[in-house]
Amino acid sequence: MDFLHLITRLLWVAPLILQAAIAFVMVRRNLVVIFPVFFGYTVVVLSQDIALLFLRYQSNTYARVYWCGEALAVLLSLGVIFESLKHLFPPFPFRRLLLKCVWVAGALAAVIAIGMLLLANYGTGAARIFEFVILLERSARFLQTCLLIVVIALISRLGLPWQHYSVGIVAGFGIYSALALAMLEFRARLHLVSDSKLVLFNSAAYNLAASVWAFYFLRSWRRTPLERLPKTDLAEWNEAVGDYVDQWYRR
Amino acid sequence: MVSTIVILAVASSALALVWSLLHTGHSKICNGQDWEEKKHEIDVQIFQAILDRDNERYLRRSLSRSQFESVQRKRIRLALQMLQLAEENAGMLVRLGELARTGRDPALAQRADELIATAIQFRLNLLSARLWLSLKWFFPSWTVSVSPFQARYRHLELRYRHLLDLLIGVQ
Repeated sequence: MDFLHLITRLLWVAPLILQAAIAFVMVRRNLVVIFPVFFGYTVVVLSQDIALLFLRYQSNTYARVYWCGEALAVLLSLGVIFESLKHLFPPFPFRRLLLKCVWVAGALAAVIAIGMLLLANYGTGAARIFEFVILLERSARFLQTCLLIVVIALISRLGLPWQHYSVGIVAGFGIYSALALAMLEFRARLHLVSDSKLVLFNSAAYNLAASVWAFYFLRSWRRTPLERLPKTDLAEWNEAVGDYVDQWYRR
Repeated sequence: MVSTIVILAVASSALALVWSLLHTGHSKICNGQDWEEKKHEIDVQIFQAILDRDNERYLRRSLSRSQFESVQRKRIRLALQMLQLAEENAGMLVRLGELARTGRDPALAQRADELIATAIQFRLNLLSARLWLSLKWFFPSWTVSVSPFQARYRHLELRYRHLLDLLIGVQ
């Protein structure tokens, strides 16, 4: 029992240290201006967890801080996805098309998430509200994971630079939201996981995500800037392939 | 049960995608010299010649159906291989563009943005091009005649104009 308590504490405190370091590095490297939403998310989660460390468990204040912090974190994490997209694609007309794709995917996922929430069985009695909150979180995580799937597929498909901070942010959220979603399903629908194990797995997933963010933000990506760009025939290739595709659409 | 399957499928897909993103994303291009060493020498004119419709028509006329289908499949396979190499080149150029963006020269950064944009646009076009080429590989003899939709559209347009003329006449 003591060992479990120790593990729980360790999994709680480790991401706090990592995120404090990430926030510090972001301030030092002027990344706060570039990623304000991710910085906001980091600060909110950090402040929430630090506050919870000093509050009495099962008090009303604890519950309020926990649930308000969670709601804010989920909203900010959805905002982070769009913030990352903005930085991954240069400001050219097709960016609007890509953003539209993500919006459409998000809207579809939101409809499915709301449908799942409405059709779910919340049980009876005092546990009803708790079940509702868990299913609400599951729906939010479902939406987040669907959006991340589209974004990660775009990043992989379009061959965007692996070292980009945005890739790290998206990857971290991808790991966390996918694992949290699976765990919530195991708890809420399949009842294969107890509440204490859900908390433990959730913390472990968050640790993984924080490690990915720390890897991207704390590591110094030493890059020698290029003096000039090489001559390429990429524009010709783009035109040739575009013409071929147009030929089909014209038909 | 359906929602459980959907949720678990979504979660595992996300994890697989993250894994592939972090696992296969390493690029070893650091400067112009790396590019010169690693770029694939492929000629865009050859690619255009392979997909040229006049050439295709000529082959169709000159060969038997089975011979034509076999040759056409070989041509499409070659085109797809060339696209694969061009895609790898585009990936390396995105990396170089990123490196150029980190410099202090705004003109160079602007050109780097344009290069990255072209590379991304190229990769977007590749998605459609691959789809059409794959369809052509499965159905090498497939030719789409003048679209009936287009003909219907023209007919509709004529009727609309006629209606408009009538309305103007009434006024």
